[in-house]
Amino acid sequence: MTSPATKPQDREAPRMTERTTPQFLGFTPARAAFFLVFAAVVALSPLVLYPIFLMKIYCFIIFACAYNLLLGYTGLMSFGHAAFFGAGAYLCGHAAARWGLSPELAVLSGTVFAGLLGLVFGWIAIRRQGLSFAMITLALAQMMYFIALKVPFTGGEDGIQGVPRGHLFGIIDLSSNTALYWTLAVIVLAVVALYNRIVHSPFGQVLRAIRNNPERARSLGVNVDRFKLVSFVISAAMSGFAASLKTVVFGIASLTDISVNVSTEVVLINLVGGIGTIFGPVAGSYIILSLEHFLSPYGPWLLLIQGLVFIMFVLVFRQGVVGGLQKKLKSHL
Amino acid sequence: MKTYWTRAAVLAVALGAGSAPAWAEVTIGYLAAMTGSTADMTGEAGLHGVKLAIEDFGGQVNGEPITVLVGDHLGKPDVGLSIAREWIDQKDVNILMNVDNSAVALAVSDLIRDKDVAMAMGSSTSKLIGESCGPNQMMMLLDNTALARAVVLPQIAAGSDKWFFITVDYALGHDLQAQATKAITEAGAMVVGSTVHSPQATDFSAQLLEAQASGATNIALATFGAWQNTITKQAQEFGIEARLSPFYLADTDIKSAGLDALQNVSGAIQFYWDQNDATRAFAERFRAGFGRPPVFTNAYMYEFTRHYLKGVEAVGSTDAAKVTEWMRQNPIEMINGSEATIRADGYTLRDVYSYRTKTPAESKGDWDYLEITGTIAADDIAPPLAESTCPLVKG
Repeated sequence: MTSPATKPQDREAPRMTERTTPQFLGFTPARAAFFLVFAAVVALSPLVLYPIFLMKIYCFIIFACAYNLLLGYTGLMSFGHAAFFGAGAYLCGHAAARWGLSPELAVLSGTVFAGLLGLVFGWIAIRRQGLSFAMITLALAQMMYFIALKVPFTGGEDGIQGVPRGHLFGIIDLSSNTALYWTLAVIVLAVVALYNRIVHSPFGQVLRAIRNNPERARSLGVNVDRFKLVSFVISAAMSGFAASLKTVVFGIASLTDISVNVSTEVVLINLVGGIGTIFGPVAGSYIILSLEHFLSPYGPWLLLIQGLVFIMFVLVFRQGVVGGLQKKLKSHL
Repeated sequence: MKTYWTRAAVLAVALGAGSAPAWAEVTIGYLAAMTGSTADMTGEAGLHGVKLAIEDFGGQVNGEPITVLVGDHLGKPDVGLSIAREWIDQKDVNILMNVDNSAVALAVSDLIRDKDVAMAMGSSTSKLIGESCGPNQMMMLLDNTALARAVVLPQIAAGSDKWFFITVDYALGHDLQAQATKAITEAGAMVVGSTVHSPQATDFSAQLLEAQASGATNIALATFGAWQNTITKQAQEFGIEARLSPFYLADTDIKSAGLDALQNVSGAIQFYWDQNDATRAFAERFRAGFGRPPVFTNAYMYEFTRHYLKGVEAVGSTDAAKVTEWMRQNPIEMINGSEATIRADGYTLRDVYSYRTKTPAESKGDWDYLEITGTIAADDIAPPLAESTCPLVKG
């Protein structure tokens, strides 16, 4: 795995062309083209694939974008994103199933809760860098797992079950897969656009400066810790948002959502897709979740195959699918 | 390896069938833990029970083929729920069989409540016949209340008056302990202590010594599978004198822990292969395809699948409500020749059998483990309908 402090792919990355190419909301022509392809896939895929499976992919795309903002664009490697994912899932499930909140409010509460948790964890963790940072996040996430296992409100092994899908804004009945699919489709496209906007804003430029050389950024007068913390909180809140949507789609929040596998899966998705790219999380989610979905009949063999994929990408395609593409096209994707 | 290919073949068949309008086919979704601590008892072996029942019908009912889908829920409710949802949305599944994990069964129970799908469950949490009961769901196992009574009462009658619990630290263990404690105190015996073990535990010496020190006559094992096997082995090493009282003891457990460690243990069981000629004949058939005799969890897969298919045949459709109704109104023909009935709350009223495990000297070899010592009438252990919290009963 790449060390968070120095990222070899930055040096290999194409020269910055951002200044010269025309941009609209952070979209260069190349990124806009990719976005349109993605939108077309989102629009057409339910004709051939199972909508619930696609919705799961979209939730993970959002989650992976959140993670990539931190790893790819701020240079912070967290092993504890399961904590935010799980916290968002549980609170959204709790809010919808037991407080009887509408889906949009339940998702909002999951998002805010994960963000607040991110604030606390980030405040503790960003004081250290590199491996120590990763280990602190891992430790905090394991503490969250233990709490989730023990406190009664999460339902222990059972999880929070029977989370109703409800009516979006009181009008759209989400219990139909079709309505829910198009809601998710709009959301995932909006989130990817927003993520692109954040990365290619002045704020995103500061984050990349911190990633490339924190000392230099500090010498230029950037309050490095504060920017890291903001990035961490945004990432945590987005993770909680993804988990909340997942809870609404599947009607359950369980220990799986907060287990360490979630943290490693999101790393794997980004590694396969391309760390520090806009469309890496998108491609990675499609690839990894498809592997899981279509190979699930082979049970334990899936882990072996996942391991082989991981090794292959680390050894051969270090920049991931989209990372490799952007090198070919000489343009940031 | 072979099993993976057969499973892949079944799935391939199912996928092919899923794309065609498959409304008339009978589709059985076998959702179980195919790996992990309970897989030895249910998993592939339970699937074999289903296949034998389908074989009885020559692979078809009313001229329509019977398809089996296989899914591994990994013991995780979210995984089980998404497999069940996909089968319902995409594969027109008619009945979900096994679902041998309480958390998964509860999640799926919510999902199928207003859908045209039946479920025959191999999990035992009392909630599933209580507040989470459903019109199309049936419980194949004894629920925890009945199981606790079946194991505890005959032993109290035989003089065991001080009980100590070693309980697995999650929902199933705690529920089982609570139900057994109720049965013990109601029967006038005493619970002298209890301790929990974590699901990750591999050493139980502390628990066993605590049990020994409590002066208990019986150590109730509110746990199962690999943990239980280790506990029994360690109890033997330590020379624990109190009797072990497992709740879930299958022949496969005795096989892996060894009869040495488990001799002279008393308990209750729903099915034992060497009970009479009928069970021996079935065991022979099962063994021919699977290499070992069936344990109780495999037997009920056969009994319920056969009963369901008879229902489909009699009703002439796969309409879940109608078939379940038929299944309730007609007695289930058990392998050993007895009969059982399904109550409105989904509980199966069936006789169970108290047993004593043989000593290594008495046993004639592998799988000759139990001596059936008596019959416990279904009505003596069933949770009373009058106390049921199931809305279908109260309504």
